[in-house]
Amino acid sequence: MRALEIQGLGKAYRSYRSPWRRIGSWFDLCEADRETWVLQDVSFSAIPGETIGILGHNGAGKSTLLKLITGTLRPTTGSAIANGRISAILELGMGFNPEMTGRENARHGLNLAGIPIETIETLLPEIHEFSEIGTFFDQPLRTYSSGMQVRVAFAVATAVRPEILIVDEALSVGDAYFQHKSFKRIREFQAAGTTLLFVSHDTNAIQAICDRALLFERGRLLRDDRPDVVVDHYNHLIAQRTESDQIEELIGEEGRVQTVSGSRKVAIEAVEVLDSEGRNAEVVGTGARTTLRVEAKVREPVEALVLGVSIRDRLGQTIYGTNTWYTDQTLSELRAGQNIVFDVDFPCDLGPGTYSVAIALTSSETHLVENYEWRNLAAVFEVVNLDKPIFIGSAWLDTTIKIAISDSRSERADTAEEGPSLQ
Amino acid sequence: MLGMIRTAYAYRGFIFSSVRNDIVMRFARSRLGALWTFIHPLSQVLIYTVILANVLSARMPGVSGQYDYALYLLAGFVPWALFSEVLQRSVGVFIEFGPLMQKVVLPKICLPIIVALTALWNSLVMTGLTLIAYVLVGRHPSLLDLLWLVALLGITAVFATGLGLIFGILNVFFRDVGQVVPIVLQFLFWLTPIVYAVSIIPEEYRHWFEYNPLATLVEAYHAVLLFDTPPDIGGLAIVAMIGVVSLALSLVLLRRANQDMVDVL
Repeated sequence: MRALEIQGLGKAYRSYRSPWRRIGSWFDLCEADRETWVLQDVSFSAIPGETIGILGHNGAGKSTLLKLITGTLRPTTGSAIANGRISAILELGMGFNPEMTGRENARHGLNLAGIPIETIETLLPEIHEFSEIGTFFDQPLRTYSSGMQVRVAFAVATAVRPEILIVDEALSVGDAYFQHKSFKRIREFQAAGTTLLFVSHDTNAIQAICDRALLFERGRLLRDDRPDVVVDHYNHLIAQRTESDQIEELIGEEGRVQTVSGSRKVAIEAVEVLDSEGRNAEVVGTGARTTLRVEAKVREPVEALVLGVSIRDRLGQTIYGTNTWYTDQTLSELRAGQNIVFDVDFPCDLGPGTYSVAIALTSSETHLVENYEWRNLAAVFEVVNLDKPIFIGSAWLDTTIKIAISDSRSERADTAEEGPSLQ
Repeated sequence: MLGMIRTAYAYRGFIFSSVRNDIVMRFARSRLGALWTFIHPLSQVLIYTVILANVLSARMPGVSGQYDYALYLLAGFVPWALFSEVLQRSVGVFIEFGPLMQKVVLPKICLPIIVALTALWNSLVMTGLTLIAYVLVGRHPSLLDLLWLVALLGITAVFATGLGLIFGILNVFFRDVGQVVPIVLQFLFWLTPIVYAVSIIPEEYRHWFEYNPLATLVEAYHAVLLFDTPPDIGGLAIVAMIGVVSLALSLVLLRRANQDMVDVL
């Protein structure tokens, strides 16, 4: 069974020349004079336990979509059907009253969420325990710190596992400890089958936790795909400034989708990963000297050229990135027809796994000023651990571990003895 | 209609919790608490008693005794306070809860119920304290009087809620309504025999009071509390009918406007 089924969903705000005509419309006497569509033709579905990231600029229709899903807004066309209860951590503590105690507010909040009256009293001790605010729970809310209010509000919003949980960036409030605690709870819900809708501008977070991502633009669902692909598309949307820009997707070997955008005044001809002997390499050993060779051709004269490189892990998170602006190697006054070869040399101090390379040719340090060509997944290589001790993680830190063992009798003397034997 | 009742029942927890919050909140951290419900009208009674009864030496025809005018005022203030509280809060209630309704699924039918129940509670407190005042000056209401008071309370509440809900819905779309209602209430206060008796009005104008449902209600309170006569049952039946009809109309309006309301808020 689907947790969420959205079919041809659309929302239009209707405006009328006069309020009287609006009232007429309630009784089918008048038609709207103008319709403003804020969301159109959105269809997707989610299975239980799935985590879906929702991306888009402000005003792209994300909040409208969420309101339609939760039911605070009614759709103009189509339908949004949720199988089960929806809880939204959008505005924590909505409807809370500063004069009431935490307990009374919790009770009120549970009532507002439509939790059956019979279960409310049994949930209160759990909320008290989860929020960890001790005796403050029976004090008026106005005496709370903002962190304590968030704790209670989060505990209330997640007191009962919903079938669908909507999480906004609001979650980044509270102290680090409680953030971990709340995230753990969300993970538990997910494991138990809660579908998570995660709205954020934080593309790294979306790639890290989502199974799938949706990209919205001007009220339409532009993309529904793997998070890394959608995040790339989103980044290109941000980069898309000039008319000459085109977004194009090349399907490479193994079904890899390369997203390419830019004006192509300078174009990428080839991208290669080379080992220390200059051979084309698909597999690189941890710590080995590696070269990334980028060949570019100038098609139209440009004043400045910066090469940007970033290495990403399999989730699309950037592990390392730099560019020739930062290294003070900006090229200037290039003529059409010139060929340029960049050799980016680095020790491959990465953990085992698959990595991809994104390349950008731009006029300055960000790709936002003028983007000549930007290509994701320009090259892919695999790192294997050939000669290092086993380790985990995506970075190889050349580690030395010193160990000192002593009898508990005289601690001070032991520190002095530790040196020679181990170094 | 049945759907609305079912929804309201499902949200009864929220409704009661909101009513409780409203009641507790109003006098939160004040020492006299709910007594203020009574002190406000009492101070008005005092002002009117001093100015109208003593300075203008307007005597109540038909009742004698030094407290009679004050008792007359108290009896009239009970329905007036209920009516004006329901009306004033209903007009703004959808706007007040607008931000919440945009974030949380909140059936709109809950809001007028919360307003009506809160006002009914306040009115019960005020009725109780009024009765105590009556007992203190040696007037003991009978059981029949109490039953009448309950009926009158109900009729006033239904009448005010129906009217208030209509204004409340319209106010979402025409914000002027919210400005007009307090003005209308002021006129209505003086067009209703609360601080004066109908008998001081020249004979040829008196029949106009028949068109003021509130006058019928206030007179009924006077009759039950002060004059120990049964109220004008025919008049009350008409007011009750107007109340039920306007309540039904307001619920139809609420159903039709439901979708538009959140869009506009």
